[in-house]
Amino acid sequence: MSNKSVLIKPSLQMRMSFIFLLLLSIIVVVTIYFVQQATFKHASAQLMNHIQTSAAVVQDNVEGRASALDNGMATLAKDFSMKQLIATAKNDQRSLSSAMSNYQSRLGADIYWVLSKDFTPLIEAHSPFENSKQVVPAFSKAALHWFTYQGRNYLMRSTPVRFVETSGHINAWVVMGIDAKKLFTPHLVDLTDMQISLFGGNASVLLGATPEAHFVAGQKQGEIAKTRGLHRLPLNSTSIIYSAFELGTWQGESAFIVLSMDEDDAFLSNESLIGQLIFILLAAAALGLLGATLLSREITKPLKQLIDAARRMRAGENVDSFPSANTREVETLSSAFSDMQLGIQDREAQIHQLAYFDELTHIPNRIQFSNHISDMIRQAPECELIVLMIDVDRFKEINDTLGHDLGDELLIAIAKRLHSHTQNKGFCARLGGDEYAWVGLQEANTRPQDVAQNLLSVFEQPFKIENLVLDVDCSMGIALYPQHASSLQGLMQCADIAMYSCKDQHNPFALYNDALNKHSVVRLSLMSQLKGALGEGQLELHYQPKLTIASDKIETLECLIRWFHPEHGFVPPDDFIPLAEQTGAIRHVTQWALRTACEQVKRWRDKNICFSVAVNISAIDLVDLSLPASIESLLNEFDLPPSALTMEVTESAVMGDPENALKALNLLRDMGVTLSIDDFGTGYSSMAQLKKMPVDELKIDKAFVLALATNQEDRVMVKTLVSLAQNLGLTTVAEGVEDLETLEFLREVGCTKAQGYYMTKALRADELISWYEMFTEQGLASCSQ
Amino acid sequence: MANSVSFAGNIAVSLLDNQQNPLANAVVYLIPKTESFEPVENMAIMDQVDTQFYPHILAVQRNTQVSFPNSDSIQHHVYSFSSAKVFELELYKGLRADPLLFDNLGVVEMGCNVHDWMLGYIYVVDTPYFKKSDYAGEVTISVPDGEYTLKAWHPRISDSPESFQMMLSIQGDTHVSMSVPSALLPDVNAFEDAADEFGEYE
Repeated sequence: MSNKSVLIKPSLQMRMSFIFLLLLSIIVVVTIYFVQQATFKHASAQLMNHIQTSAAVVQDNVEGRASALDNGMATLAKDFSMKQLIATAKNDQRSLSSAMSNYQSRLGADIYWVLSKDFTPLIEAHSPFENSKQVVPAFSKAALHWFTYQGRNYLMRSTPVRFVETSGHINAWVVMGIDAKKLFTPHLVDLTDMQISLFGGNASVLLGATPEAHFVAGQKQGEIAKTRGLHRLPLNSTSIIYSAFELGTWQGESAFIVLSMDEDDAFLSNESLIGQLIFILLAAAALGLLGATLLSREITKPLKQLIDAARRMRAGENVDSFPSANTREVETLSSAFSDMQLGIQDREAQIHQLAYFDELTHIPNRIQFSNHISDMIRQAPECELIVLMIDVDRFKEINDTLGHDLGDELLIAIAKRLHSHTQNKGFCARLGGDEYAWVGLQEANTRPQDVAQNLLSVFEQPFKIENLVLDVDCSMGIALYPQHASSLQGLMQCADIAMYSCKDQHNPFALYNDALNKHSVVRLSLMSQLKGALGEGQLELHYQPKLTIASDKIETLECLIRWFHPEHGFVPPDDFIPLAEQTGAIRHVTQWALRTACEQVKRWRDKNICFSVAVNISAIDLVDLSLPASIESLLNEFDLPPSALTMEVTESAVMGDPENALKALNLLRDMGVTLSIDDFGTGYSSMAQLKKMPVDELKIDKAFVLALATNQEDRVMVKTLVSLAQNLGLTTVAEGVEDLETLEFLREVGCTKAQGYYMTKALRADELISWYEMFTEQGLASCSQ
Repeated sequence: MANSVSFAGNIAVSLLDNQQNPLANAVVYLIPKTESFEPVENMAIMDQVDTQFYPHILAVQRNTQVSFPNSDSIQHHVYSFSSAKVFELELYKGLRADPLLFDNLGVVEMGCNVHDWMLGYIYVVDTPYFKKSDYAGEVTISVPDGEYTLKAWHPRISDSPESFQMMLSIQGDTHVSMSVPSALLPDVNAFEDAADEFGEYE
């Protein structure tokens, strides 16, 4: 994602170059624009001047010709012999004609007429003028006159002939014309540096033009602007600049000369100036761009190095040097990067510490231990390892007794000793809680047990914690690689199994063997089978009666679970109940037991046998607050009063989570279910705790009852307990009553109920009914049999 | 009518231009309706004095011989291309030139080829009754009683004598006024202002 956007976005260098280029372009364009404007204005003014001067030159030239002709004609008109010839023209046209031809060539005229005073041609060969009365006298005026005759155009002049000069009467007219073509000569082009065209009739008629004139007949005549000022007209792929000036008249309207030149020529100097300017500006732009590129490269070079450094940092590399920069900002950024790397390294170290070291003891933790073993195996699969798992015995008791702070100090002290003991040999770690582990290479002449024994020396000396001297024992499980397992998990499991086995055997250490593991596998498989077993009826409830001592009646029973496994036969509850409690399967067991018990009680009640049944519930059941609701629904389902059920809870079950346990107990008590504390006297429950518990009954553990007949201390204990219960308003049940003496003692001290083999062991429901019928008939006598 | 007793009378004519200003130096002449004239052998002089024609305007009856003396000490070259009389008196001095017969009616405009400014007129009429108006535009001509056509000519009058004329029946002294219908031509040469013109006045 970020890479994509990085690719799309322009680089700093590009952007800087772009901005430079943009600014330069603006400057260039603006400069060129204004210079162009100024120079164009100037050039235009110059050109206008030039054209005006040229127009004046042309006018002067034409007027000069006209004036020369005038002068010549004036001489002609005063010439006596000409007068004579004119006066006698009627008789001698040829003489007049030849004299006129002479004058014509003398004056450089191209055409002539001699007219009488009423404007009829005196030489008959000449065609008469149209409008001669107006036109001919006009030709004698100073203004220039253009005249078209037989398709040709002439600059016309006329002069009146008076036979007597001072006469008021005109006797004849002499008219002469110069071909307009002759007026616009290359010489005039040289003088003016312009091409000249003469138009009459609102530019519809070309009267004359220089040989290379731009505007000739048929060339966009209609588009010619007939005013002064500069005009532009595209013509034959070039652009023509021209200006028009009045020059005489043609057929009573103004005639115009159009002075023109190629625009290229007109603005040549201007354009070359602009060209030079553009070249200079482009060169400046190129230099500027080069400068911008170099500058931005200077700036971006350290940035690129920083980017590279950041990438290397991301990849986990340690970057030694950051680019030293030439600008303060980049310098700051560079040092910020450096600081950031230090920060990251610090935090990595912290994280590493947190991840791989135990927070309390600062020796390696389970993860590092596991990694260490994995690394050893991976690096040298053929190596031989010994893994020890060490668990501090009775640490929970120490912790509970001395408090957590001292418990923690003990853990730290153990870790220190372990660490210093194994400093040069092997690798030790705290796995969690009171568990430690050690791993080392097997040595040829040393047995694993010797290694364990050696490590046990750590615990030989007592630990001194805040003036307390503590003797600490431990259990060690030993597992070997590759003998016991080839994987880390396998090794840890083997060591764990071995460690637990030695706890059972009360040995300080145990070497793993397959037998231990097999047992474990059976236990685990039992758990997986337990749920199925409940459905398949492999489990049964057996009932053991509780004798009400005062009345010698059986009113209450305790139900006990029995599992008859199709392969393993009878599985004692001690083998699977704790496991079921660990795995959580106990819930299903409890549910099953409650339902089965309720069914049985209902069945009995239908036969008018009113037993109340006690069901054992575990800590997990108690904390699960859905228990009261499910019990209520069961009672409703089987139409039983709450008094038909008693819940037996061990002290330790309540102590695990006293708050929720008390909540559940209160709910059950409120429902009217009888609550009983099982195995009373074996736990650590205080009197204060007992006072708070909403129970009805105490069950005195059989440890105090079994030897009651002979043991005086037990007698005192039981008597005290019963008395205590009475004072608290609780009934008492003694377990493990196996003889009459005991029963009699209990009766003597006022114990409420007795339960034990003396009455009967736990029986199946049908057996119990048989036993009950016998007991009802014979009373206690049946028990002594 | 030729034998009838004729009483002489004077006809006074006041000649006015169209602005009612007196028109001087104009040739005023009366053409009798019935009378015909014998050819006359009159003589007239058109002199050249101080490089000017003198007089500026000379009225003559048809068939009058006009001599062109030269009072200047320089040569003149007098000519006319007028249809009434085309002539040329090449460079001459004194009385070297023979008189010329003017036997056609109308205006003879004369110039001098040597002196362009020189301009003179000889007006040939077909009647003995003619006279030039004085500076007040007045002219008195003695004529027998009878029917006349009154005409006037001057180079500045643009109208032809035929276009403005007056039929008169004269019995004794008569006075008439005659106005030129159109404006006079501009006086370009200022000959009219020449003081000597009045010297000829009779």
